[in-house]
Amino acid sequence: MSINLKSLFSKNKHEVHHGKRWLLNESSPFIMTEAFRNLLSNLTFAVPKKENDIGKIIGISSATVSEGKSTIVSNLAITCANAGYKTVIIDCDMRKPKIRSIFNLPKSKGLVDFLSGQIKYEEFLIKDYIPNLDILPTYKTAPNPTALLVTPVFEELLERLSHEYEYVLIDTPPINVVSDCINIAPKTDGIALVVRPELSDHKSIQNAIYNIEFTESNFLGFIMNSINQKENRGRYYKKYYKYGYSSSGQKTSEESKIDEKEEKNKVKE
Amino acid sequence: MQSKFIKEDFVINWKSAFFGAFKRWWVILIAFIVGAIGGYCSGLFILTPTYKCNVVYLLSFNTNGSGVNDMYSQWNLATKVIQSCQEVAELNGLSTYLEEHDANIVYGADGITIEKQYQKGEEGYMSAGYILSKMTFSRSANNGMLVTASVATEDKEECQRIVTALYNNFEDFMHTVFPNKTQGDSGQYLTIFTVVNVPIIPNRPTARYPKKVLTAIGAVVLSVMTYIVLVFIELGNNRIKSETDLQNKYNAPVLGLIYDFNESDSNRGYSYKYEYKS
Repeated sequence: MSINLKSLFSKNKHEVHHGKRWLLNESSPFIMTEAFRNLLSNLTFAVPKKENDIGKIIGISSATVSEGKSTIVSNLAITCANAGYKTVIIDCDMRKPKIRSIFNLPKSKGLVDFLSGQIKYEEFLIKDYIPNLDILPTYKTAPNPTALLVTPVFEELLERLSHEYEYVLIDTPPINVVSDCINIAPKTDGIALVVRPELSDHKSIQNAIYNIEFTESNFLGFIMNSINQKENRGRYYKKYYKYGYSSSGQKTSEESKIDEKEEKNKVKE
Repeated sequence: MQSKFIKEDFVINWKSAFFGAFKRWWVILIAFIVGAIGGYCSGLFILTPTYKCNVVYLLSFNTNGSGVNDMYSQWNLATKVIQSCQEVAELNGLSTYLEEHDANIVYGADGITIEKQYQKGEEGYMSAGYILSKMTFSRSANNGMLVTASVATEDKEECQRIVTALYNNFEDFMHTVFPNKTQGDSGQYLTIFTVVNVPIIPNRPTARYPKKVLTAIGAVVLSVMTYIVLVFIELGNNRIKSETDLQNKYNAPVLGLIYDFNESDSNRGYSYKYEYKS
């Protein structure tokens, strides 16, 4: 077992992994895809169903920085899209936008330009990044994002998106650091807090919950990010995965045996 | 400020602290190694195991007279014997010279002659100077003389052997060292030797510990102390450690658990595979 000397002197374990963002794809392990499917299921139940099939607006925030909001929003959106839900991501972090870099999007105009009235909605919407997934990115930072988020334009945008999409996922700035999220929260159907072990502390989480409650928004619950697989139930998933499931599209030995039998039966017939 | 999502009756999670401390197993391991080295070094440089044993003899003087004068004479005799012992020791460069040369003949003051070697068990001889160096003389309460033979060695068997030899040869030795001095002014002479304290040969080092024990003690003590400190650090750590931490403290559900990934996982799907073309 190796000891990471850098991690011994860093304040928290996350500092070593900082900056690493990833996206689910077809070859992602079963354990990860299943984790996001599980999250999606829980969010579906946590957010109350709305009348007239209006889409659910879910804000993903965290108490402090670097807890993995943008990565989780991105992968959750991919999971939603893969599950057949029409989904859109809005990057509302106008101070440190991350969605563009995660999805490797070309530089163009974004949410700041739209909210300040410089462009139309259709001009910055990235349609069908993957089937069922659209993105509303932010490229340049705004000098006063809070002012932009309280405008009726933003409210109208959300209203429109909720009618067009089944899931509207908002990547928000950290709730304790800036006040942007406090302005976004009441406009959503619920806010989920991303928590990273050994980085998030109880005091900051409590403050975040107080802030959410203060805005009379719906607090959905926690999303724990970056959990050690060995120490948690990942090991059960792993066994389950080995038993017979394959997310990468490759057939397991048992599946291939069944296929062979079926082929033989067809030939006999 | 009260919140419906935050539990008021939060209990300290001792189990988490005790197990959480083991996450820093390498700190405990380092403490164990440092403790072991420290214990070993202390045994090497500072502390050596020593076996100690004391034998106390009482010398009383047989006198012809009685009463106050006789008591005075006994007192004088005891003083003279003690002085003679001190002279022997001083004039012969203390016991060191005798011990080094295992001398059997030593010329002392006032015609005191040590001519005899005393048996050191079956293995060799014990010089008179050596015996003298192991003994201290003092007056007893009843005007006799107390002689204490002290032995301190690193080897248990050596300690046992010397003490036995001193015990066996003491009377003979005293007669040799003080053949004339025991004859006092009023005709007193040294006759009775009484063993006040029978030597008890120690089974264990009486003063210090052997290196192996010190090494083990150092390692165990330092690692246990480190573990205790780590437990307190864990208790003071306000950060979220696990899903249970959230469930214990908050009335909100944990919607999802996203696992950490290793470097090797990056080859198995965690990559920027998607390319957007505008």
